[in-house]
Amino acid sequence: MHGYEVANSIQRISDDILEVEEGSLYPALQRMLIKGWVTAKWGTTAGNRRARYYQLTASGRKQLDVEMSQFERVIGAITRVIEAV
Amino acid sequence: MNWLREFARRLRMLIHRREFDADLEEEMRLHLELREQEQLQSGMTAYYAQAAARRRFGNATYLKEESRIAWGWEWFENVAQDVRYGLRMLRKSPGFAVVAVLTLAVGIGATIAIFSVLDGVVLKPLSYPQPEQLVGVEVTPLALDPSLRGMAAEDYFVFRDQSRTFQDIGIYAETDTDRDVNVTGFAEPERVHALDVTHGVLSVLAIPPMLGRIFSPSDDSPGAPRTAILTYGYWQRKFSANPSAIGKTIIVDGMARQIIGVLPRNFRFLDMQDLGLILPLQLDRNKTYLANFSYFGIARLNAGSTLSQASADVARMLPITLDTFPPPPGLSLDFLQKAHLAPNLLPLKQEVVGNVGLLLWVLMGGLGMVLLIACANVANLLLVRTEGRQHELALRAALGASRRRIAAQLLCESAIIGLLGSIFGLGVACAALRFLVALAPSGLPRISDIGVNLPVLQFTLGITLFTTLLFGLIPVLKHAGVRASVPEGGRTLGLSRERHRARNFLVTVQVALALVLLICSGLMIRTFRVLTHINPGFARPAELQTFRISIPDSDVPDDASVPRIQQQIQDKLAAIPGVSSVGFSSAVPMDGDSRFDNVFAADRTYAQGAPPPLRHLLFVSPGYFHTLGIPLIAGRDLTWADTYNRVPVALISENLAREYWRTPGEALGKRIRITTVDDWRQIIGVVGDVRDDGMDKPARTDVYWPTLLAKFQSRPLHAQRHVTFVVRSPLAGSASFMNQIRQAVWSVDANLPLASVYTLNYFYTRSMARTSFTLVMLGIAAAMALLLGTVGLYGVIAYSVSQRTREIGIRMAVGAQRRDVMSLVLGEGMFVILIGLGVGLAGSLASTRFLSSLLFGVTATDPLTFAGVIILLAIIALAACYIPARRAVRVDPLVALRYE
Repeated sequence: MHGYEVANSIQRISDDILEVEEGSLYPALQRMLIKGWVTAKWGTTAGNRRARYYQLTASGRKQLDVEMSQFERVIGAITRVIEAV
Repeated sequence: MNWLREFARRLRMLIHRREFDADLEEEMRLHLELREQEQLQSGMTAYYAQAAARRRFGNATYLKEESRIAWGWEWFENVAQDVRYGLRMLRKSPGFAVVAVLTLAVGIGATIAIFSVLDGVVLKPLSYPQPEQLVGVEVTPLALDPSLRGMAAEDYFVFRDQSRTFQDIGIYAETDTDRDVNVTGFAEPERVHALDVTHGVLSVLAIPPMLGRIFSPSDDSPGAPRTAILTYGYWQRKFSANPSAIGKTIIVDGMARQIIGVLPRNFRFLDMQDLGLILPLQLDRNKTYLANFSYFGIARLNAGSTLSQASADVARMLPITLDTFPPPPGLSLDFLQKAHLAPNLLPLKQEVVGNVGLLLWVLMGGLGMVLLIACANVANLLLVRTEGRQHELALRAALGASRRRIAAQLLCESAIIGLLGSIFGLGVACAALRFLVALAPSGLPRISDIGVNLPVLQFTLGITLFTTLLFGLIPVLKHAGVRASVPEGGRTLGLSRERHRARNFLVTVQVALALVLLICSGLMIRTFRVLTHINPGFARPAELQTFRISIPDSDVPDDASVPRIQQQIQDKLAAIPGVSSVGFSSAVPMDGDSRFDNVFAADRTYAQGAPPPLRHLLFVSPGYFHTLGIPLIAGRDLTWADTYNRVPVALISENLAREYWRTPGEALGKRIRITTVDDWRQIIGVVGDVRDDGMDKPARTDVYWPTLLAKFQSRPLHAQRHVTFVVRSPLAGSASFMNQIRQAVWSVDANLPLASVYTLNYFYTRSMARTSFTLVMLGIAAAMALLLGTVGLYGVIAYSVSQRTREIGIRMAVGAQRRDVMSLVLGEGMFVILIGLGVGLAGSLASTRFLSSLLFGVTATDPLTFAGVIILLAIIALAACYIPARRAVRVDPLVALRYE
């Protein structure tokens, strides 16, 4: 996916709930590139335009798992706290 | 390994950062356009579609910057930008750049040069394995003369066998010119500098041979086959570096020796110059008598043993030597016990370097001050320049540059100047080092260790950082906090004291430092004058040609015929046209030869075992005193008849005569001798004192004997085989004259090489070399300080005048006289000068005491020098202010007011 598609898919999957400032995607992508979590490759879009396509790497996937479990733990904790009230 | 890959990615980005920018740009544009299209399709007008797309995207410029910053190269880009900008600024004002860089180059270069010497001579460890374990081992007879040091054979035997702190120990023979040997069998006879060692010496140093082997215990046992080791230099010169030299035979002092080894190229024995041969010292334990202190010891400590432990160990063993070996004939054991022998151990490096360290640290301090002055000058230039850039800086601040960013930029410009200054400074240092090494006193140890090497480069780097911060921080501190408001119209309205304070402070420092250096070199000049005005005891040394000749046993076995050959040579030399007088002696003044012994006088009583004082002994020919111009104060000179007939006579120096018999006349006819089994010898003459030990030391008490003596120093017959001839001629020192001398000598014996060919003036100037070296070096430092300081002072006053042109114009327009303007400007300079002189005076009083051991005949606070230098500096400084003051006076009020 290239940047625009990423932004769109975040928006679509979250049913328009998560509507971030789209541009901030790019600094985030740079940081992931540095860490080696994604790779970038230039390709052409359906409209025949040059675009940079990002792909999750193996270490990116591993990082995702780490982040997910971290996130789930936090969410779980929050949920428990809220339910206890 | 993850961080490594990450760093590689970051690095790739840095290299392709232009491409990176374009990619990001394109990527973001695509995003915006796609979004815009989507909006258009949903029925928006083109204008709103674009606006909506941009709104959703956010601040593109900011995001682009964020993306870049994420890669962590922001600082690098800033620096790169600052460097480019700094270089451009320097190119725009080449005059400033050249002056600043050259000033620094001179200051840094001189400091590096002195540091190289300091490092090579004092700081660098000796070039032997584990040099910290090496010690010089000597013994001192505390009761006789605490300044004497030496080792005797019995000490060596006992220390070697019974020490608990030495891994190994060796002794080597006194290394004066006396130990030159005659090498014959090659085309011309040659004097070669040789060293006698026991087998332990080379193994203590732990330098393996390049070829063959080093000495083993079998080489130095008495009666063993004679062997020799060559140094690399001698092997190259005599054997053309041919490895087949090993096993060959060489004739040394008429004796055949087998060559068993060649030492490596980098081998140096302590600080010995031009060493050619190393010979085994074959000591016979069974023929060893006590107290022949003519050797030096060198040992390697056990790992973990300290110097003080070794000293205690030696102190324990010294009484054992007295019990083990017999005293020499004529000397009682009691006498030796009363001499109070004590250990005298030094780290080997200290033994090699001696006390030259202080001199070098003084010079280092002096040139450090020059560097500070140079820094102050550059800082002042930078201040003026930065002041001129107020507008630029204010503009940058207004555009959002942070204080830190501006400071970084100013520092970067300074760093460029500092770096260029250091690069050129390194060049200056290389040139200066050649000059320094050529000029250095011949006694400067380890001169071959001096060079630009790693520690020197590290020092250069350090000093570059230090100086850059020093002169770079001043403008930063003053100007980085510039406010964003640009002064209206940019007029220089009058001047605030605030703005000049930094510059005046720097100039004050310069004047103060220059004063310290000038006073130091002033004191050295006075010392040098005192030294050169002292009577050395001999006359016109430049006319005296000296050279050494040694008549070996193998050539002339009979001691009694030695003086005949020497007299023949003397007569041949006297026949050379232009020669007014010839003599010879066992040593000439200041050649470093020193032979001492206890001298008994017949009319003194000595308590049982209490030794009489040591006297300097010389063996001289008739005519020696006349040739050197040493005055005969009472009595008569020696005659050849005295020598040949072995008449028991002697001459003494005036100070000895006065010490014992009040007047020189009274001394005549008195009797003296060295050991109790010698014949008494009658004093037939008293001669003038000679400052043999150097001009800054009092003359020694000398005793002169004939060159052929019966029953002397416990021996039946003594002939002086090593002698130095002295020939007085106006042609002394010329090559053609030396050729005539050689022919004259060889007409008597063609196998006699001539060694140590110098005029007496060489020894005379050498004795003052330390003073003249310090004088020249401090003089150069002071001259640089004076020049830089004056330029700095001039610059500040001139700049101040140019800034005040308008003010001066107004003053003159409303009626100020030229005199008033003059005193206004001079007053400002005077203020700075007076404070500088005050601070400098205090600094001088505090620092000249470090010089005091280098001074002679003048105190470290010599009022004459202080006053003279202060007046001189004040006059020069005022002159530096006078030039801009005169320009101020010439200001035309009309021009001045229209100027802006």
